Amino acid sequence: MTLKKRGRIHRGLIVIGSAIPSIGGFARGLWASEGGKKWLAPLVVFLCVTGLVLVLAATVEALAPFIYTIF
Amino acid sequence: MSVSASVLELLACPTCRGDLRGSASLRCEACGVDYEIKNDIPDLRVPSEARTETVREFYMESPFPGYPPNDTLSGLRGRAARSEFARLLERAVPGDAKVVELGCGTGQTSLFLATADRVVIGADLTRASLELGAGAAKRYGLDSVQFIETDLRTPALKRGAFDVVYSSGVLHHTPNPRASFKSMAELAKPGAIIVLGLYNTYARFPHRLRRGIYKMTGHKFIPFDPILRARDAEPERRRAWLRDQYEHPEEHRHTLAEVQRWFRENDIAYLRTYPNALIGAEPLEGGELFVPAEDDWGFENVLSQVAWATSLGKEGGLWITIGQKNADKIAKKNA
Amino acid sequence: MKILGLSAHYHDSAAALVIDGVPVAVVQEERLSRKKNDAAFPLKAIEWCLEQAKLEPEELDAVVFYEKPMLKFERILTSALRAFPKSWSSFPKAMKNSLGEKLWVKGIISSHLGIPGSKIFFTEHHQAHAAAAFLTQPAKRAAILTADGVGEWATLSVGVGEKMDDGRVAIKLLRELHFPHSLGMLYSTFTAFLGFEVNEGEYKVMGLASYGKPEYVDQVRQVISPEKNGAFSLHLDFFDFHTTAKRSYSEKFVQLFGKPRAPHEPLDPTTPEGARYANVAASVQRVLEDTLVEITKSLHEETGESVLCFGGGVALNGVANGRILRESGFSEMYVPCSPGDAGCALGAALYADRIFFKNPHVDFPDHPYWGPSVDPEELAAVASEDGLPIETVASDDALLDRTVDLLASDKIVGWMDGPCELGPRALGNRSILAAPHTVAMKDRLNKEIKYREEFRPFAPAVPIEVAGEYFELPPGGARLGAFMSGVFPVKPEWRDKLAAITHVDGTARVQTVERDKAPKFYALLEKYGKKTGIPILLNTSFNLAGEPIVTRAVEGYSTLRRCGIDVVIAGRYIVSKKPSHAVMPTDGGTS
Repeated sequence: MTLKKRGRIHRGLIVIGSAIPSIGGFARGLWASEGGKKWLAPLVVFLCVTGLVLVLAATVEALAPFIYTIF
Repeated sequence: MSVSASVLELLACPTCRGDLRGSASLRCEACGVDYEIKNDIPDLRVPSEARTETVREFYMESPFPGYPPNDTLSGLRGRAARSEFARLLERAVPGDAKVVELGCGTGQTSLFLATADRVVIGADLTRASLELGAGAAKRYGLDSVQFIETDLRTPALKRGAFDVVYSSGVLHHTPNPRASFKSMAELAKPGAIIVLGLYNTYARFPHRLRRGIYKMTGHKFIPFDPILRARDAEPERRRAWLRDQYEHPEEHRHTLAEVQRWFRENDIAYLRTYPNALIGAEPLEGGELFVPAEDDWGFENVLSQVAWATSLGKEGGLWITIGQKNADKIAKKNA
Repeated sequence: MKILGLSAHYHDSAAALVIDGVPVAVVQEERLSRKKNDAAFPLKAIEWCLEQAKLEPEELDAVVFYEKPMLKFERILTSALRAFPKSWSSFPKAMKNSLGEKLWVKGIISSHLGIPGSKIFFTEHHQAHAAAAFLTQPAKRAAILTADGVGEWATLSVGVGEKMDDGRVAIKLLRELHFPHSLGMLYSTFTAFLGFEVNEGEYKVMGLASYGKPEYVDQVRQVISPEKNGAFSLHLDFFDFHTTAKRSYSEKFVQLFGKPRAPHEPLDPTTPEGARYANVAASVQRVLEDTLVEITKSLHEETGESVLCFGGGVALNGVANGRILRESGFSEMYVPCSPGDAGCALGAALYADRIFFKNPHVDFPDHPYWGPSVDPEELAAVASEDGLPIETVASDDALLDRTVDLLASDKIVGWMDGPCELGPRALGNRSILAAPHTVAMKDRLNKEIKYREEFRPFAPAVPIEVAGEYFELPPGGARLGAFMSGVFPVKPEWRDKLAAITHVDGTARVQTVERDKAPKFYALLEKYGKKTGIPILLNTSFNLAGEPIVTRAVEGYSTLRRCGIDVVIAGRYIVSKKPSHAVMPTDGGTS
């Protein structure tokens, strides 16, 4: 058995599909919560949407090569 | 401590390539010349040309890369573990390989590779560097590594005797890198692996800009050198880097295409580069450093080298090319 | 029900497949991907687990993730905002780190496995830890303690667990402590200060502590102060982990403890500077122990239970576990084989099975061997390709005899047998074994195989029945030793004969071996005892520094080739190295 390989764009779409309801749920939870967390909700929605864009545009970060300066 | 039998069979007279014998000093069986062993390091150097001599004197003054004070073997291995290349190299070199490092400097890579049943020879032109390496080998209790003083162009090493011939950051400091490579390639057995690290023409460009500014400002100002900045707290190692990168008397730069030409001239099959010249390739995981890359497309190679200016540029633009000697003959034999 | 438990994205991802209440397969991603502490989404581990049960992903009834990513994100965001403006410079990085893949677990699971979101569930991090600790052991009732760095908000929780006669299971949370007050974070802050890698170097701090005197206890007490019920709080001006990801301790911390050690600098406890580091390590270790003893004492009084189950990364501290067992009042103590995050994959699956889906409790097979099995034929095949000498023995009994001979003649043996262990310790299925008697053996292992600092001790394995003859075990100590979870004194009269496994302070991290759980390993110890008089072997994990423990035979073989191990044994094959002067063929001739 091997897991079915899906392309990046396909996977990205599935992630977005599931993300929108969970962002909504999370923000609603914060909005309804007691204490001073209400004001977090708009920020969370904003950051989550930014995060989604990040997932789609994920780049590999360049690591320090350490080929010449191993020691 | 004398030179062990397993090492002796890897050495040769630098003048006539005859076998060497002896323990307190070495004698060539063919031409009868004697070579001294001082501080456990045989002096197998014959007089070399003036430009080589300049480089030797340069390193006599500041051995490179040098050791931190109170070093230990686990400290050395700890440093190496930060480097993906070092980890891949360690995985790929067979446990019983005969390894030679040409231009080993103060010998860290040789010491790092001297595990399991390997026999490692660290060769360099500069005695001052070798003595630091031999001292460290003694402190660490490593007895499968031997340092020798010899010139790359007339090496006191047996031709066709090594499983891995390694040289990084060295050939571009020799007067004629192409000829140096030929003499490096002769040391490899059929099927042996060549690991060659050189400054890349494209990837060293940012460094040359830095060096230009350094020279124009009268050796006062160096912009954006992360290695130099990281060594602010270690004046000794900072100085070693400064001299090696900014004040070296002899320096060449090369392209992958040029190295591939050298490979062809010496019957060496191109395997791969590190970092990978294939754009977007999966990172290597285990012992595949000596396995041929999936592709070798000139256009992509050039693009990669240009891109290395940003990644490798920080470190001075050194990249690694890996090849295999007489690979076609080996393949025929296996078939 | 078929339930897949997952942990991923921080350290040690893993997958666990639980069918009808018992695990079928559990494996850490690093064992398959060969990247130490691999935190990637555990695709390889999932594939392997499903393969074991011949399942397609659609046939799973539920997939359970070991923490709630959104709650965790709320914590990271809240703490960053609380620390504003100090945190502004690291804010973008913290957001980028947590906003990427880590937040969209539901979508990621669903996109990789092709199952609907309605089948994907989440437990809280400490619920997964608690389940991994309580549901994998035989006692019917127990008090539960979990402690680690941080999950969502909780860093430490106490509760009670009960398996009722009708099969229902209850895990009741009594109290929890919230970020940033965290024992795990305290210990990792010192780990970083001492120049070791966080999440990896905590062992080294514990090993180093034995070389020092707790002279900095008063200073450590300035950093953490006790509260009621054994709880505690950290004084945040000494820390920076809650404001930035760059450094975990603050300038004030450095004023208190002196200059931090630079990573990779050599560390020698006999030099004054090295002694200071050892003393700092000893002090934080002492305070950690004291705090845990206080917490468990009050937990014991409050619950009246006699058994304690302890989970979370802090439970890997064997020295502290030894003291808890002696001083807390609990007569028995259990730490699972993988108390850290990898074990949470199993914990999450079990929690969902018993609590979410209310399935009746099933007794848990009490062993750690849940991973891929070794294939001896694979070893024979690669060794013969390379022309290495292979010895084949006729029976298991002959194999054990031969192994004992090798060990008794000071050979270092790479031992692979059956399925690999879950968790950070090799418990006799993927072990490097050696004679435990001399300091020379310890030095050889450090120098030629493990390449590690000399202040880290090696562990002994001993048959459970005779463990008390060689080690000072408190009541319950033998049980705690099943997964090497406790550190206990070696009896003084045996220390000279067990020099390779006796730490500088006279202790050892004992593994007690039971015949019915590991019959072959047990028989090996017995035979070694018959031959040498002492049925104890040095047992250290079968890997090289910086690599995960070996899984398959080829990895064991490659380790043999790259270090000073003398032989590798799997099935009935014994592979040794070539006589070192053999010449490789150089001609391109005959074929």
